[in-house]
Amino acid sequence: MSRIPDRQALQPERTALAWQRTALTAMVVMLPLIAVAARLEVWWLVVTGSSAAIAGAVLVLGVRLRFSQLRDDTRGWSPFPLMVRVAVVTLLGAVGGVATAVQVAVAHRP
Amino acid sequence: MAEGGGERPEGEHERRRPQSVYGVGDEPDPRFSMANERTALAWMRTALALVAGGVALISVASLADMPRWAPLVGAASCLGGAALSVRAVRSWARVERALRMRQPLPAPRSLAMLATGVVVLATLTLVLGVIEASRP
Repeated sequence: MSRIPDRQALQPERTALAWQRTALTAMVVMLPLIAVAARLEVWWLVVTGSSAAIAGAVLVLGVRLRFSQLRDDTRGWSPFPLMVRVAVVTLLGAVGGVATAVQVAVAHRP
Repeated sequence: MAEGGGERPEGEHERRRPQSVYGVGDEPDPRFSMANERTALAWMRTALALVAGGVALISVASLADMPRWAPLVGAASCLGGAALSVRAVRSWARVERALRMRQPLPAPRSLAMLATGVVVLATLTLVLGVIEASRP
């Protein structure tokens, strides 16, 4: 008899799929950023974007672990650490975007 | 599905983080916790979409000869996405805490902020675009 009752329905699967979509989005968002930074030859931004894309890829792989946590009837698991990782990837993407915007605006200076 | 939440195993509240959430109340129905998790993830994807939109605009501005305000609008979108991702995590924590305390769920304040931000950004882009197009 499990202590946290009846998790063996479709709820964990739906939640894991939501994680999968989020992690894939986090990874894909970085790709145009890396391309533009490489075109502008801003190498620190290429490295930052690539690091964030790799972090996104690790999240995609981590979804499997989250799925097994969601199906664990013996104890509850916090989604907080994974959620913070997604937020950090989003923040890195935003910082990269702002830095690229500044570079582009400066490059277009008449 | 069982009604209500299950009992919390001994010492579990010490293992799960953050303590501000898991250190209070009782274990809620797992369905509600997972629904809260999925809602936070939907917000996170919205934040990522804002960042993606901003990055796309900046990318196009870097390739085409677009006016200087275009990358700045993209930057504003990126900043909005960054703020929304932080709010998503905080909102998840507030709702999970309310679920554990058997309190009414807090109102989704980010929804009005997001709608306002998107309308302001779209209007700004439209106005700047019209001004740019009407220049001789």
